[in-house]
Amino acid sequence: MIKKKVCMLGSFAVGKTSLVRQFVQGIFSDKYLTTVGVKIDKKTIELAGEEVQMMLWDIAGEDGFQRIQTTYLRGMAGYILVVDGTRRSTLEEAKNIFLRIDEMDIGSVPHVVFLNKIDLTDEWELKGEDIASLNEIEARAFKTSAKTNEGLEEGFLNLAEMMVKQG
Amino acid sequence: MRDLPQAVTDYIFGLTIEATRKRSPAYLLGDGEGRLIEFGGKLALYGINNPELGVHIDQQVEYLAGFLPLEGEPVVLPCLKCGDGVSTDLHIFSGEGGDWILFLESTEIEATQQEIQQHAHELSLNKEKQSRMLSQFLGDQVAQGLEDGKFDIKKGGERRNLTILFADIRDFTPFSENHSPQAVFRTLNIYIRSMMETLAGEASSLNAIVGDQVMAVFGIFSAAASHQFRAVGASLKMIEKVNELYEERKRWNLPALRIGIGVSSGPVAIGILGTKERKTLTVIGHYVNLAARLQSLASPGEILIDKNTYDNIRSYRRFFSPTTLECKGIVSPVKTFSNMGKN
Ligand SMILES: Nc1nc2c(ncn2[C@@H]2O[C@H](COP(=O)(O)OP(=O)(O)OP(=O)(O)O)[C@@H](O)[C@H]2O)c(=O)[nH]1
Ligand SMILES: [Mg+2]
Repeated sequence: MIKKKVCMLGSFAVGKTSLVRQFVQGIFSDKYLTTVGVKIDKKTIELAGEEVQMMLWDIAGEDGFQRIQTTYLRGMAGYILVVDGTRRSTLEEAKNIFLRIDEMDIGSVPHVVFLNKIDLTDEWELKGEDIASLNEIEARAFKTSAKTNEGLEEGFLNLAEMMVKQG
Repeated sequence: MRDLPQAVTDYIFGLTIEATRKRSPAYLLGDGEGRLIEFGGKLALYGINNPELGVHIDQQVEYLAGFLPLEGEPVVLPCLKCGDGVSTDLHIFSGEGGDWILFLESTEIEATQQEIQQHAHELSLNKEKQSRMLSQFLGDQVAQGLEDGKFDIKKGGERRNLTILFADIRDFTPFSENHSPQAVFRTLNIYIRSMMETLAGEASSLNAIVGDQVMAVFGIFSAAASHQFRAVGASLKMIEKVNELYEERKRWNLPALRIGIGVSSGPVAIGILGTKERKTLTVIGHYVNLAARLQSLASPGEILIDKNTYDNIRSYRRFFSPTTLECKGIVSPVKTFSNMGKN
């Protein structure tokens, strides 16, 4: 079985933990409980008849005081930048994380962007040009909702495909 | 620590070892190729059952894939959770015999950190929410108006005759100290929203929400009625709306609060502050301070207005009567009018 390490990255409260929980356990909670350190989960998916085990590292989000602990990133085959579509500033923060990883000199690592909380249409802040600006970081974006499960399968599978292709 | 006496360093090491022992240390030792050659301690606590000697460590502890063999500096993975294992600070370092992996329980450290982090994040989220609400109501409109040159305000600022309104929620601070942050912000949102909706309908250009306080400026957008008239009209409507809210909330046994308003009118300096992306109008001067001061003196449900305002509100005058107040910080005595008819 192919095993791949995937890191969930982004600002605090964008929905990293909720996305993993929905993807792995199929449940969602409205209650916010911030992550300290890292929590690791596994999910096996099927890709073109082959099993791929994704080892999901749900890492504490960045805030004004705390940057991502880079030791957690070692050995990752791919990562997901999570943006909270109802908080526009989290998009810039995600781009910054990409730039820092790019500087780490670990080669090009497959990654996708999740524009999360798409179910909150009334509060949605991202415009077309914001999404287009993701070209800068060479990332495909998926509109997701950890609440309704929208876009998760597609997003995770897309990343898995990229990681498997990369070898 | 070379400059410390041996006795002191020994003592410190003693403390460290004692503290560390309490954290249920457990370890694995890998050879040059990452195969397990030794282990010890309560590994089961960390979700590692039946370790097998000679087998690659990353086959037994999957999340260690990519870490072994360790090349170079030690690696620390703080507060790591996996499966049913407890939270651990994981230390990986090279030493005698190979690569060591040390597990130290971090449940308590994590709980403390969690509490602090949760509080900080909730606070930031609430702050963000508030400022988003601000631009939702009028920030964008003002920003756009500036962009389109709708208001012809000179770049360097100018003096203009305007009406300033301040409204705040009375007794909000004691209320906020006695309720959970969630309850506080829920209530605040309801009240601020109710006040803002009224203002938005009155062609004011809103400058700020600061905590439980709202400020609005009238006279920037041109409108048929005088800015004093519109400001007082908005005030009366706000009081009415909030009074309805107050009664309603009391009926439901919810925390009920009322607002106080101060309005003042006269020449103030107005200018544009900010960056290209985000411009705001700012007003500065005696009448701004006066409006703020009047608001701070207003009782729940009260609107206090100055003479300049009173003189320009025609039909609304019947709602107001003169009142005497001590206005700290403003030199000359101020003629003030109140909607609550006290003397
Ligand atoms: N409506 C809605 N709420 C969401 C969604 N995803 C997450 N949330 C909510 O957003 C809040 C934060 O979610 P988390 O998953 O804890 O965020 P996080 O990125 O793990 O946060 P940190 O661990 O602090 O970095 C919680 O209250 C979730 O219920 C979503 O897709 N839709
Ligand atoms: Mg989390």
